Amino acid sequence: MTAKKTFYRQGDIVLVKEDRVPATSIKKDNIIARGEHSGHAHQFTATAPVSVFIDPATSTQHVHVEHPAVLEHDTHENHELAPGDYEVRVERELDLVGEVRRVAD
Amino acid sequence: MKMEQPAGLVSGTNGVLVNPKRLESLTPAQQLVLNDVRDEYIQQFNKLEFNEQAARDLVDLVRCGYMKEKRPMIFIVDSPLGAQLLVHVLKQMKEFRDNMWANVWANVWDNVRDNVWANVRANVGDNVWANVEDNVRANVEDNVRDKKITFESFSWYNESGSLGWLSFYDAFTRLGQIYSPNFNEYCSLVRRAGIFTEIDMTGAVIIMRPPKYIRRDNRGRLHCTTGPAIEFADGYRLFEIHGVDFSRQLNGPDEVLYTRMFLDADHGCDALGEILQHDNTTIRAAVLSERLDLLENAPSMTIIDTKKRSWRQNGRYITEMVFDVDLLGQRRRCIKVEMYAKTGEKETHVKLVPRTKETETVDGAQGWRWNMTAAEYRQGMIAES
Repeated sequence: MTAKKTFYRQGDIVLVKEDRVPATSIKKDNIIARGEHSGHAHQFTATAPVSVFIDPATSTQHVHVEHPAVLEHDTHENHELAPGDYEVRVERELDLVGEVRRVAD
Repeated sequence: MKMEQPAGLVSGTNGVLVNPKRLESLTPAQQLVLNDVRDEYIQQFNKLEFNEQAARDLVDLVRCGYMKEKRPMIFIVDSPLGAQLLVHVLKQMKEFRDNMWANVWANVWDNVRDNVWANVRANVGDNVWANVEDNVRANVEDNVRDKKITFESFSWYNESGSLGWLSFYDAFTRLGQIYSPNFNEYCSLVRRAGIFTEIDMTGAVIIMRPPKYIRRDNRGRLHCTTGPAIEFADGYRLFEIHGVDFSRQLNGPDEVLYTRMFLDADHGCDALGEILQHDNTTIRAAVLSERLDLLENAPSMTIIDTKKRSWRQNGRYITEMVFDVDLLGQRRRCIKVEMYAKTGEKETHVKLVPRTKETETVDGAQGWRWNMTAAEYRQGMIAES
């Protein structure tokens, strides 16, 4: 039986519990860079006991939480994450405009 | 920033030093260098900073240094449309007759010299620049045609859109594969100058400052539902939704539609019929992609599944609904979610999802949004907001 994958959802991202951060991932700052065009970011404070990583091959972000840490956002409620490793997944969207343009071309 | 010449490089062609060891594959650290360079250049472009002295130095480098010309007159304007109008005025004067971008570009190419044309430009220049250029061209051709103003080509060099190919060579410079003093000098000036674009004429250069702001969607396309997606200091601005231009005719019918749907107080709540009859498919798609909420009232709408869940045990509820509706000639599926923001205000989001067996349920449609199965979404959630 497949183990249940638990996750937190905040706006357009989810943090999915995983066994460990991939070894090929590289440490980055504590901002899960998203919505840079809107100005809103999902982020941990600079002193939070977390490390955020990025897999350079896929640009997927991963988070290692050493102790309970708060994921913050300007417009969505904060979440306190339990210790562990997480994969960050960004919401998928169907691109209606892109699809119509491809058909037109 | 002066680049240090790495050790171990040998002479290549045209004054470029190259690494004798061929780069066959990238380590994760090297891949990260490419990511860092890419992000650095994109962030620099997004800062929209203009340095007039660096811009003048860049013109000197190209026109006086590469082309051995007398220093041209430099005109600095606020927008591409302003530049088009100015070049038309200057062309009436014999001192400034020709648009010579092709000649200048050839000299930049020869002096900076590259063998490969990078497509990182797409991430920085094309999405934004193509829209602006098309709009300016349209406005010049459609709105001022009777005054015999023709569209004059903008440059492909010196301007912020060059950051694409510049970042390509800069990345390989930072990886220690090439070193070109000419390139490094040119690249450094382009980055500092922040010229949005320019028009080179005999005896004159017209330089455009960057816009006051650029707003984009997560695919990098010009996009804003609360006002112009790009605006210049002289007031020239464009309304865009996911790269679809509503300002082809300034203050024209498409801008009126945009205002009605996104800026007016009632947000065009009764405009569905009007939108569906618009004669431009991409305009219809653009409006509806951001106003899927209107489809809930469409005659073709059918509810597929609904769910109501307690919201954070505070007496409130999240309500979710999957519905099918006819949209742009196809049967399509949406998920509507009503929940609460941090402020306590109710929020409604409507998103398109693929029409599959999996998405026939609320959990399936929600799971698709984050690449999960219905069961994973239903069973795995610890908390949401």
